[in-house]
Formats: sequence, C-alpha cells, structure tokens
Amino acid sequence: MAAEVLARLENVTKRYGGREGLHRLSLELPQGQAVGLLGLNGAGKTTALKLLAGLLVPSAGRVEVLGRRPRDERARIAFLSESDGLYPWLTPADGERLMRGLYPDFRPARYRELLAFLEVPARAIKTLSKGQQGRLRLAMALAREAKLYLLDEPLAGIDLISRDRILRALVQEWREEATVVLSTHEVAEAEGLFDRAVFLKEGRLALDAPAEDLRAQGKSVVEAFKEVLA
Amino acid sequence: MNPRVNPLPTLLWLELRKHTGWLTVLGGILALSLVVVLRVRQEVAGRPFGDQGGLFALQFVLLFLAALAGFLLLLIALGRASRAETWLLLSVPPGITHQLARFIFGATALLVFAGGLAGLLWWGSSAFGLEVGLIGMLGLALYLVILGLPLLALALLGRTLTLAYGLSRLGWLSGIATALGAFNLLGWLFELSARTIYSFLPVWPLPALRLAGQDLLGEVPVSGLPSEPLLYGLVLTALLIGLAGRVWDEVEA
Repeated sequence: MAAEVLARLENVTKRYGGREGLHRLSLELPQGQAVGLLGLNGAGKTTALKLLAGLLVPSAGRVEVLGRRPRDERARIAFLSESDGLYPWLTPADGERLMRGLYPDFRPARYRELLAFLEVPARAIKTLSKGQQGRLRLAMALAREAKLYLLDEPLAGIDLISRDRILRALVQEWREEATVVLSTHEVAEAEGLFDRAVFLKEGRLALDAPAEDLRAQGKSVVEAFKEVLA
Repeated sequence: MNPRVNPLPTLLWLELRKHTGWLTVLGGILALSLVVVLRVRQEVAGRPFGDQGGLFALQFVLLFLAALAGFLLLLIALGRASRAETWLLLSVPPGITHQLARFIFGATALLVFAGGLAGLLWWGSSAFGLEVGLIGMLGLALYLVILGLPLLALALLGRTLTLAYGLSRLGWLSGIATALGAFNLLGWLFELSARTIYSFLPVWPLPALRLAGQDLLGEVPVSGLPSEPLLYGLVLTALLIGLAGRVWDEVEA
C-alpha cells in the first residue's frame, strides 16, 4: 500500500522580484520517506524547504503539509535553517528551556542524549565553533517529535568529525512515521541516508528518483548528481 | 497545542535575557539620576526655596531628559529586529502570544523605570520644601506611561515588518507606509482627544503640590488630567499589537 502523502508542492513558482527561485515545482512527500534535496548553490533547495516550512509563500501554485497551509501545521514541522543564527548568549541549557516552553513535542531527555552524543559543550553559542553550533542546532531540531523534518544543509561548513557525528545522529533519529527532507552539497557522505533523491537545477526539477532505482541502474546518487549537472 | 505548555513565561524569560544589556543601561540612567538628586539635596539643604529655583529647574530638566532617553532606548530595544530570531517565527505559539510577551516586558520595564524617576523627583522636590503627593506623583508617571504604550506597540509592529521583509525592496515601502500611517493615525487621535477631553470620563487626579503649607494648584482651573486620551491610546495599542500578531503569523522570512 502506498504511504500517505504528508506534504505536497503543486506547480509551485517562487519569484524574488524579477528572479525566479523556483519554477513550477511539483513534489509529493510520503510519510516515512527520507528525501535528499540536491543541487548546486542557487538551485532552489532552500526556497523549497522554506516553502514547505511556511516561511515563504508561493508566488504561484500550492504548498500543503498534512492537507493544510504549512504555517497552520508548524507544530508538526521541525526546520533547521542553514542561515539562521541563534542568540549569542544561548547555552544548551537555555536551548532546552526555550524548546520546552515553545514546542509541545520537545523531548528533553532525547535532547540531552543528543547533546552528549554530538559532544556539544555546555557553553554560550558565541564561544562554540561553527561545527559545535551546527550540532547544537541539530540537537534542538531532532529532539522534537515532528512529522516533517526539514534540514537545510546541516553538514555545510562542518569538519569531517562533526559531519560523521551528525550523520550518525540522523540515522539514529529516523523514524518511520516521520518524513525527512535534507538538502546538502555533501552528496557522497549523505547518500546512504536517502530513500529518494530529488535534484534541482536553476529552480527546476531535474530528476526525481528513488535511490534504489538509481542503484539498480548501477549508479550511485553522486553519479546521478554529476549527470544531472553535466 | 499541548495544554501543559504555557509559552508566555518562556517568552518573558527570553525577553529578559535578550534585553539584559538595555536594562543595565536603564538602571545606569536611574543610578545617575539618583546621584543628581543626592547632589542637589546636599546643595540646597537648609536654604529657602526662593533662592534655589534655578537648581530646582535644572534638576527637573535633567530628570525629564533621563526619562526621555530611557523611553527612546526602550523603543529602540523593542524595535530592533535580528535575523537570529527567524527560527522563532516557526515556533508553535501564535504571533499574538509572541507580541504580547514583548509588549508586557516593555511596558513593565517602562513602568518600573518611570516609577523610579517619579520617586526620585518626589524625593528631590522634598529637599526644596515642596510637598508633592507620592501616590499622585506615581499616578502621573502611570498616566504618561499609558500615553507611551501605543509607541511601544508601534515599535513591535515595525520590528515584525522589518524581520518579515528586510530593509530592501518592499520592506522600505511597508516601512514608509507604516510610518506615514502611524503619524496620520496619531494626528487623528490627537484631534479626537482634543475634541472630547473632559467630556465623558472622570479626570485623572493631579498630585497634590504644596509649599510651606500653601496649595500651589489651588488656582488651576481643572482638577485633573483628561482620561479620554488614555482610553484612545489603549485601544490603539490593542489594535497595533493585534496587527503585529497577525503579521507575525503571515510573515515571510
């Protein structure tokens, strides 16, 4: 039986002034799927994730999460943004206090486990390295029991050891009832995580294929990525 | 939403943490004002009021400037938008809860600051032999604070618009439109207040003011300040906070 569609983009176009960030993109995201959103800088990955999160409104087309506007379902969406910072004074303990007060689905015990696993020091963000900051933000996002996880470049600018820890945390955290959309440039390292690879090129859908099909064709996601870019 | 989660205390705590620096500056202004009043008290001890009128005026002006500086600082603190807050837009509590937390924090800080300055003015006046009713003085501070609340709410709205649209493209347009609209609205409010003052609400009492047992306000033709502008100000504040909450819920970031 096909899994229930959790989120959907229908012919979505997003314009920024005169420039198109996305052009007539259609995607269905079934429950329980881990989707890799892949593409070069400016391909439209962040725009697509922000539309799904409800942080952007489409210029044309429709975006739905659980059949409603994404902003109406924000209690079930966990969004990790690449660009947003957090308050420089915030410590992991402050993060727990904030998340507990703002998100009913936040799991404090899981958060502390993730902090320990990801080796996040108990210090203010301004004293943490970029990798440690990324790991803290990831722990905050993954400690929620959301239906849809949107992770925008969680591996960007992060050293190899931190990347490894983050990938292992992601694998641990995958749950069957949740849908995960992860955008990344680090295709080779993350490709084992995906059930499906969605390639964007200049705001358009270039390829949408189950990772299994790619493998059956004797291709890795990286090879498919290179073909799409060629 | 899970009824076990009450976001308001968390959001108030967040405001307190975010604004620790600004609150320290406000505390510094109060401390400096205290030094001024202490110095003036030492200067005028035992001298008749008539000889010290200039000093009294100077103290009054300094405290007025302190009040103005503190209010402007608070407006800037509440109106500053930071990209570090984009993630909050996706938090579960509705926009109105976020805006209410910010407003409650700002109004409380303003009230405490104005109350402190009013207390200092009362204490400073007593050195000159002026008997000012403390309760009346605090009431006057409360009156002025209520008049300032629409500006606090406007700062919150401006901050949300800035966070939503940035200071580019349509952001400038919305900012200019908001500013022009706000001035027009305040102008209209002023006219409405001017037309209806002392017409249908009881007056806000003035503090008693005596010098050497003589009532200095005995000759003043009104017994208090008009309350109608406060009513309009509160209605406007509620509208602005409601609008800021709605913008928060629809914001693009």
